[in-house]
Amino acid sequence: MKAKKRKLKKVLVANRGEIAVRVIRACREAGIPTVAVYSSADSRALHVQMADQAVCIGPPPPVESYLNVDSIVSAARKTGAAAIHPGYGFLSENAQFAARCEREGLNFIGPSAEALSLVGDKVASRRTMSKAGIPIIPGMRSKGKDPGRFAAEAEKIGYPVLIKASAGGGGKGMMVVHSAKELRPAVEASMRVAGGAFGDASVYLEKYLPAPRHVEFQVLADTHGNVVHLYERECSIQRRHQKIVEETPSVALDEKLRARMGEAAVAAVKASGYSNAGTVEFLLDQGGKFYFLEVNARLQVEHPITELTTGVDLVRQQLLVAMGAKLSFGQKDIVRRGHAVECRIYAEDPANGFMPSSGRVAFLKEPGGPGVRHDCGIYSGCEVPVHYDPILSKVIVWAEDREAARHRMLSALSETIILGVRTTVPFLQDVIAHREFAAGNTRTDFIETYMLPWKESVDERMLDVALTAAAIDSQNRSRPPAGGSTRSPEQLSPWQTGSGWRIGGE
Amino acid sequence: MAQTRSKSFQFIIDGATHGVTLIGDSGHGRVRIAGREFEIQALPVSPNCLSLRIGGRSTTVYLAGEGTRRFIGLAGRQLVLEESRGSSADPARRQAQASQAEGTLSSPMPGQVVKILVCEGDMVDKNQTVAIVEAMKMENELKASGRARVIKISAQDGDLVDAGEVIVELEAE
Repeated sequence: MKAKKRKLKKVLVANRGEIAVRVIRACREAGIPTVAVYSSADSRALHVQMADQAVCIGPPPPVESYLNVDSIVSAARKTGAAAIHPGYGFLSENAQFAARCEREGLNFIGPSAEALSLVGDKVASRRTMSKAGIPIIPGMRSKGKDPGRFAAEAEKIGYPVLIKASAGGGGKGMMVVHSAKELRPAVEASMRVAGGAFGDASVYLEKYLPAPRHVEFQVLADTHGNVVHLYERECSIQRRHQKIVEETPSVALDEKLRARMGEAAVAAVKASGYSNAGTVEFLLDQGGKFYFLEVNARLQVEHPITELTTGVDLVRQQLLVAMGAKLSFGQKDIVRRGHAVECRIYAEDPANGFMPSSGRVAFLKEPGGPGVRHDCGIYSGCEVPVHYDPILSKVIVWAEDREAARHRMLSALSETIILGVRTTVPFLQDVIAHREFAAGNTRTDFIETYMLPWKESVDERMLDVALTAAAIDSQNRSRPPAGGSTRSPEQLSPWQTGSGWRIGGE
Repeated sequence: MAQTRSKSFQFIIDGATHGVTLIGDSGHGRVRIAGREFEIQALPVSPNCLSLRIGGRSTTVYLAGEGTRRFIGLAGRQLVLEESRGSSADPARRQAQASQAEGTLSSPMPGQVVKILVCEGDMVDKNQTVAIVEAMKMENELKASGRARVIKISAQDGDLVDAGEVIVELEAE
């Protein structure tokens, strides 16, 4: 606790991409100077440009840079940063890192190392929640690194089973296994991913629930024992166990269930001695029963939809809690309004198994208008490196009700232009426009059931426009340099006469 | 008298070739695509943005490109067009064919080789995983398309590879 109750003189943001940008903005608004850290692949990244100072912490592979604790701590020392905001992913839920910060007198903007190691260990936290009377999914009560042990456990639980990384999050290393034959290679693959992503290869097994909804509750806890929840987010639209569309409120909850789940979320936070912002994730089965899934001990990717509906700035609250402030509101002060939806824009090719699509962003145009927010980590001309999670940005909308929000999202996505890399934008347009989405039939198998195999639909009009634009562009490029050699008649193009490319009878 | 001029272009989209002809004189602009003809009016808004009136309807089109490749964005969607110059088979298609050649397993994306699971001289079965490539934390398994012998391994665990780079060569039995 020695790092608490102090002003945040300067905050080091130990992350990259849109979330680093989000945190830097919150610090700037609070008058707190910021330090960005970056790998050598990210020297021109947006977060580096936005921070007051920036320190290179190593080569591109995450273990040598964004997961490199020594390097990050030394960057904090060198720049005089008194606090570290970990963002999401990377070191955000790493208890050793939080403990190291505590030892070094650095204020880790998140829960204590002790609470982190409890909730960060998915298996230990399942035990804690079960003891606190919160329902959990049947599965292993201990984790392991020995693939041989899992066969017996899987038989006991009964196939299909889900392999999960004990230190995991974001679906990394998560795999569904339907038979004993697939188990060993799947466990090995999961352990490789877990080891690479979290520095801990331990995995465990859980009963796989078919087609549940994923409903989570945002919580905020100060260091004085006050805990509130900020209602739910439904995040059932997932590919590879990773959310791509989130919304609040959930169409699946009535007020009674909402109240019960909110209470369970607050109880879960209290049971784990947790402080700062966090999320309690539940699965909601088809019969309306909910099960504790895990606590995400960090800011979530999808936090903006809660911000838009509750009016609470969660990153600002994180900073206040880290300064030792008491929450300035109680549970009944939190009033929700309207409906919010978020779409995650990934650099992936949805027509090709969501294959990552790294490279250069040749052009970006961001969406705008009332009720539209774009949390963005890229710019025209930036490189999307192969080394990191392919999230580029998030389009978030708010409107009075779900249907209005859905239409606003469709409009915002149609304004979102990202050229040069493949993105999930066209796929998301089809998800949001889908009648089953409109009907609220959002379960975790939504994409497999309604969307795959997916192919981008290009109508004739779109093709005509694209071909014409490309031809005009080619025509324009074939113009010889000014004062250059003699033009051939073909090159004397009418498309370039008058005002630029303007043609037609004016 | 104004002389009507026209210029034709060919673009490849997803392997299919499309022809487009711009026709214009000082007073009119038209475009011809697959035998259909439209009146057009084009106004550059910025280097990456074109306001295009085609067949009586206006559209804002975004464009960027490098070399013969054009990225065209409209209404949140992106079309990637490869301009085909000259009569020889276009390079994009040749490359695509090469990478699908029988017995060649290449990386589907820029990434890192996680593990090569075979040795030169090994026999592999259909759908057997031969190598694993990872990018952006996603693992991709490269599988043999049929029973074959491993002829050559061109990468090692940990190597960074480009999209289309050959990793393992197989010879069908």
